[in-house]
Amino acid sequence: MRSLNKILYVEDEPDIQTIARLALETVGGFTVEVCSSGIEALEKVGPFAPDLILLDVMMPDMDGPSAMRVLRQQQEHAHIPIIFITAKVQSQEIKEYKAMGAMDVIAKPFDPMTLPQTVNEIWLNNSD
Amino acid sequence: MRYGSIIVTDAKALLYQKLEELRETYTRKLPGKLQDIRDTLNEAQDITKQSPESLKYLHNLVHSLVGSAGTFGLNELSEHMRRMETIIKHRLKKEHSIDAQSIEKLQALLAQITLDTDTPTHTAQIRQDIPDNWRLDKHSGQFVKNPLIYFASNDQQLSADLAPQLAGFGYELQHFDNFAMLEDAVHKMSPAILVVDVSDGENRIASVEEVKQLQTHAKTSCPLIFMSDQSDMRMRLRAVRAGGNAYFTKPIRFISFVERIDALTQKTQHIPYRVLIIDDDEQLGSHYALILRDAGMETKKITQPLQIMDSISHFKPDLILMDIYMPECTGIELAMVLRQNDAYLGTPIVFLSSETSESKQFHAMSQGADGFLTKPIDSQTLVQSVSIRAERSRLISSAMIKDSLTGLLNHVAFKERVSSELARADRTGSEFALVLIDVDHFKDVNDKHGHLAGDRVLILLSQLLRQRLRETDIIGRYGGEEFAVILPGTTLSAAGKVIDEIRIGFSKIIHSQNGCDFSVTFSAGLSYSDQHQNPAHLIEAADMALYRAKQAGRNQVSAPSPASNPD
Repeated sequence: MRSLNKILYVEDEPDIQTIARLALETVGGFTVEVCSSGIEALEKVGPFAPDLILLDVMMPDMDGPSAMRVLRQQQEHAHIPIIFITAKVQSQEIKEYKAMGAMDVIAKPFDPMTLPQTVNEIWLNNSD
Repeated sequence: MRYGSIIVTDAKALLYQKLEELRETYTRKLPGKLQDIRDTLNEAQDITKQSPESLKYLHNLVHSLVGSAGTFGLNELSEHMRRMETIIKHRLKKEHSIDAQSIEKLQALLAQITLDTDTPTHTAQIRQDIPDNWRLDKHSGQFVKNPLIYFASNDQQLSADLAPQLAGFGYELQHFDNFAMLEDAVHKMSPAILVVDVSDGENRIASVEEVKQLQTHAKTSCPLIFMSDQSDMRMRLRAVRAGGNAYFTKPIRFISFVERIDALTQKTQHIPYRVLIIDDDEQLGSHYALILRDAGMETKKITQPLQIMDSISHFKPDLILMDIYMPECTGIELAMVLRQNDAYLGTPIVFLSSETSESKQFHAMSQGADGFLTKPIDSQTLVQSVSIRAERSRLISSAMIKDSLTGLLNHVAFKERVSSELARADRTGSEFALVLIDVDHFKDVNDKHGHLAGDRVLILLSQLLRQRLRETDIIGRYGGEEFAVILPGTTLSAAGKVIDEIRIGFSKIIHSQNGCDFSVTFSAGLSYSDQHQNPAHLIEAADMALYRAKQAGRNQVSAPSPASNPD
């Protein structure tokens, strides 16, 4: 089982950024890097080399799925698992996101107190 | 002295507090954000003024609130915003513009929200983030987490029974029916107590030795309780060798179990030990005080031994460090005086003296001391000797006396008081009334308003009882939602009256949780000491009276039935 240490958190809403980072760092013990847009994510993914990317779907400049498409095309980053965070959470949509290549989907709004646990669970469920 | 409250400065508490701060700031920014939306909608009323950018802006504003409001616990607001977002998205998908009718709808929805956040109770929208297993500690006014107990057992019934009972005493039980999962959990987070059922049987969870392995590999070890069907000496020895702190045979007696848990969890408190130092040599006394304070303890220094009685009742030391040879009286004499008082029978006394004669040391010990240290003494030895004894003394006294949530006597301590009061009543002829009080529909309070609310109700009731009753009345927390009172030197009717007044007072209190107001009542049953020789019967009579009060509709006080058997 690969270990989960570094998370790249992509979310344009600053308030949510702050809380999620706090939760993931203090309760989850992860090392977290945040960025506010798909484009910024593409810049940071190289240097930071995360084990996992939490990607908000709806963002102004480049939305989540687009960012993922770009990442999947880049050889060095294609393997990094991505979990989408989105307000839509119908099972059909989850299937669609997964078909796109996402590891899983986390519904928004999320409870910051349990976010680290949710992330852990998804990670464990997907490790072989 | 605090008993049982555990203030955890761990990650979740930190996060929770941070969340509160952020939420505060967020709710202050809300009116501004809503105004922004309002302005944008007003502009959009003129359909010619709508542009892809302005619509995108509107959409983003609303979408962002859906997410952030929800994350901060403002669920109603988030839902409302979601409704608005749905309308916007629907329109934009079809026509890339928003028609007048939809704008009106959006404005109406917005107007609704504004109303809620403007009133002072807009904080009612903020959901209670505090998970069920937190409570408000009345001493510090802080939120403290209920200690977590990992319970590994195949006995599903037992686990189902234990969980709610333990919750009533302020513990959260997490059940494991699989050793691998237990291991996993222990590695991730050490519980306050680990309880493992090592009963033999086809579905045995683990052997005693496997549990020992688990503890040695764990990051931080925690107190360990074994539970089993068997009780032979060999098993018990294995348990001890595996580092078990306690051993319970099934069926377990719940109260003993929870009292042991209380005692074992005291260890994690890190409340500074209080040491009273008695030495006529000012400098030496100060020197010891300094050493002990450096080690994190609180100290009080007396140079005149005769002052001890004043200091001790106020300072409530965990241990007394005493010189033997002092001008006004010897340490030995002082120890004997101290032991005359029941309250200080158990307080550890450690002599510190340059006396090297062994026989003199033994003599000193025989007069009620718990240790003898010879001067000169190095700091480490002093600190360790003091710590060990202070710790033990604390474990013993807190296990024996107080309930952690309310500070009242715990179940066992109260029962003992019933015995001793009955014995006293026999001797002196001064009778007393016994009252059992049970909060009505307490489970509903917990279910509807959460355990935090439930705890507050109990704390409030205990405070009310303390306020209204006399110093000489003895109050205990008898059970999860049960209280008990001994009223010495009181007639049955006078006792009934007092309790009834308290009942009325309690029923009038408006409790508030999440903007929800509610009130709670209790039922009570009385019994009288002159009717019973046996403490168990006395309690039973009050219990039956309580039962009648409940049957008769609750929220009332019931006198003992004249038909209840006097022995």
